[in-house]
Amino acid sequence: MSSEPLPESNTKPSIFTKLKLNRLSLPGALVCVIIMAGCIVAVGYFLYLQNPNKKYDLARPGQKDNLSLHVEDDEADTTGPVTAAATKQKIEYLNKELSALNSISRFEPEDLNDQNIQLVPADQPSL
Amino acid sequence: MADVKSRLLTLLIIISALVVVPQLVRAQSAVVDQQTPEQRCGLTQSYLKTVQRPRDLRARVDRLQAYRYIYQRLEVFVVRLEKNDQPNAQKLRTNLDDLDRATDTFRNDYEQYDLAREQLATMKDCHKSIEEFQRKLQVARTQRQKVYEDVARIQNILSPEITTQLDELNTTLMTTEKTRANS
Repeated sequence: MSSEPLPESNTKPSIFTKLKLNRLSLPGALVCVIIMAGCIVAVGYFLYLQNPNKKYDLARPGQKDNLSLHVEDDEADTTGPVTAAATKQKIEYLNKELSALNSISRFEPEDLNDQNIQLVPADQPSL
Repeated sequence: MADVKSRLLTLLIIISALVVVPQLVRAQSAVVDQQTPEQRCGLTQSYLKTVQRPRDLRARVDRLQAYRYIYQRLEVFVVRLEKNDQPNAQKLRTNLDDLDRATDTFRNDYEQYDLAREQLATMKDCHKSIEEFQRKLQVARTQRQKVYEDVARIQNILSPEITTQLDELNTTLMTTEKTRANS
């Protein structure tokens, strides 16, 4: 039963010791984790806001506009005569806006028929 | 030997489950399918609250936002035409005013429809007075039909009415610009 000397690596100060993290309490560690998580979320949200595809995302509650409809910028010239090119661009923009509208429900009356609202059983698919 | 027995028993249980469970589900389904409207009205109310209402609300918000967005952009464009006495300004202004009024009508009719659907969805003891339930359902359907017609009216103002006028304007301006460039 000879006592062996401890391995050398065990005697070296660990990274936690060096950073004095071994004195970190549990609440302190939790605060650190929360701060790090907050930083990750902030960076992620920043990247999301910078992404040009953001406008195709779903509108969120509280947002003023339907982002999918942002197909044209505010016009710089609001007083000068309209040119043929500006009119053509307006037609293109309007067509895009109309196509975005087509993806939204039109309040079809069939949505409230007896089967859709489950007042009568749905037709069984034929085999 | 005991091991073989337990394996056989497990196999038997699995096979029984495979045979019995679909039969039970089918039987349950048949019972639900045979329910009368009196028995199913609760299911309808639940569907209206949890599925139809959020769907309608979302469509209403998206449509109103879209109509306002399109109106604002067209308004700037028409003001430019008016300020410079350009062709089709008057016609486009008339249609833009129509769009504004139709959007207001859509909003008001949606409120009426929303109220009718809510009264239907929150009616108490619907199974006890199915006639009253059916009457409320008919009111909700009538109101929804109005909203549908409002949407169709707005769609008609936007296309073909406004798009046709913009096409005409484009042709006129192109001709004018060509003539000016040649002279």
